[in-house]
Amino acid sequence: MKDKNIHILGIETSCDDTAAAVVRDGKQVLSNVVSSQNDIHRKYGGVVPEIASRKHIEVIGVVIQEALNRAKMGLDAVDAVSVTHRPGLIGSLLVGVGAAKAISYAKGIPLIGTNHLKAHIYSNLLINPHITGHCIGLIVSGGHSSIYHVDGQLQIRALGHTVDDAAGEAFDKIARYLGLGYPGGPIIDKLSASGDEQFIEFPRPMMDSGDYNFSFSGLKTALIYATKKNPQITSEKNMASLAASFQESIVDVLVHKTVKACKDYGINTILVSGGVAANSRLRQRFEQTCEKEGIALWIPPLWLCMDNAAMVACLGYYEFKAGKRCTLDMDVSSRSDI
Amino acid sequence: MHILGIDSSTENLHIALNSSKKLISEARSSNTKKHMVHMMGCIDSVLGQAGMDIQGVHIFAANTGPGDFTGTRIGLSVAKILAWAEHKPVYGITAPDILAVQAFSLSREPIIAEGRAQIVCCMDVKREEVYSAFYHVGKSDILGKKNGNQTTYEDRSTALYRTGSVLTGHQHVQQEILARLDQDAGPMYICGNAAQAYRHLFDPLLSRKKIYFVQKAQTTDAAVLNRIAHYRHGVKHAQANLVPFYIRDFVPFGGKK
Repeated sequence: MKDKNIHILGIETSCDDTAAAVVRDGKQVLSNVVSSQNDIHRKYGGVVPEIASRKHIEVIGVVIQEALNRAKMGLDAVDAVSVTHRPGLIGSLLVGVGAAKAISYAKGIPLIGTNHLKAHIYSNLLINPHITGHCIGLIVSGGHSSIYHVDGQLQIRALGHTVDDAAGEAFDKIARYLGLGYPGGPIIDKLSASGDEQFIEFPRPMMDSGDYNFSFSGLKTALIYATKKNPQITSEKNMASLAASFQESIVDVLVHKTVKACKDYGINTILVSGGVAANSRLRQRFEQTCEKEGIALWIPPLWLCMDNAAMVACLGYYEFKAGKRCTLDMDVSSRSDI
Repeated sequence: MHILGIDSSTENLHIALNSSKKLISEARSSNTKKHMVHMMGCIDSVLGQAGMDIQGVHIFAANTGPGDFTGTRIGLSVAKILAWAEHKPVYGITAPDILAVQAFSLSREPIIAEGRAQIVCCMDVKREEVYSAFYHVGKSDILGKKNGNQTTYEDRSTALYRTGSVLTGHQHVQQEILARLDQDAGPMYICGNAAQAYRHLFDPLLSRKKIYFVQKAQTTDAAVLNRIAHYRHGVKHAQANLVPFYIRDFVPFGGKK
């Protein structure tokens, strides 16, 4: 007899996107709804936590309902609710977790609290459910830049993190400094396409530190000093090349350290995820390098790189199958446990 | 008619279950600031005490504040989604409305005897500011109809009408109250926590004739929240848009609007 399908409702509110999704059997995305707050936070040049929390509470019910509508199913058909409970902005996490607990209690279905970073890594299983582990994972976003070791049981262990700014944060800050707008990552990516990445040789921070940590704060400072020393590099004519040079430095370090981790651990699969994984130059450089090095590369499509609830439901499925159940006194945390 | 009320807008979490106006069970978690941890356990406890499950609740209600932003949002998130999951209505009731009805209930006999009264809810809302909401209490709906005010709550033949509100620096609270003191509208009952927070400002007011402080209406009570939700459901008020009641616009990077 065929096993019953498992439908997981995922809820994600760790930062400024309110998201809900329904995923069947950990691989088939039946719906994926994201209510973005980008337009609201744009004028502040970054996410304002209190505003993010206010918007989450306004739309959380509508977003969950829409996810069920698009999945063409009712709440009664959901087998478990999976929700991001760490890491993230506390005020934002609380809205999603409150909603998930209410659903779990009302419908008597399991509650699964998930780690947002782990969910990003698991987003790769939505494009290739046959990934069985033995991978190096890179999560690169506005809040995180970390390298992970994924073992044969899909257990995740951190190898290194950024010691200051995340890569996406550096893009945002430099875009704001250069008056380019928010969010900085996509703007710099687009602008860089017509620039010369060798225009300025920015430092490659911690490239040869021997560990798997990153540091992008000094790079940001290097660009600021460069523009003060030579204001002409910010002219309209040079802006694309300035952006491309800055981007190239970040991409260089991310690719180098991830590939280094593969070699050090004797692993030949890389999983890239997170919002900055949408960066076209990063994707191109990973593809080129992995092809040359004989490493298998998985990068999700753009809609799975951004914060979303499909990845939360996907991870929830695997944790559900592994027997994980959270109690209704589950708390939230700003910190990751991996 | 079973009503489940969630009051999480202060550091004290209070969950109450009413059968219509009557409280049948309640649970509290005090001074923890861990509402997310205790919320569902308290809800389960009040339902368990009553021998009910969540499907037996007909109306959900939540205190929308003003109050602690985080606590309020936890309560609203849970109330909103419980109601949605159960296909039941949910009502958001503001903290001053709850406190005013508490003050009215606690002072009911003299108010009924007088036939009219004023209730002022003064809440300490930090930043050395006080949020004051003003109510008239009358035997009929004449007051409300005359002034175009919507009935906040009605208990038998006596109704409360909210007549206005103001956010002021605490040092201006006396003059605001006195400016709005309607000599023809009966005695004044002051509730809320500002009178204790700023005793030096309120004590002179309370020494005046026919101005009273309702000691037991300083903090909100979820059972009273439920009574208001029951009343609003009964008169088919439009269902509240369940978001917190913010008294100030949020302006990033400090400063006020």
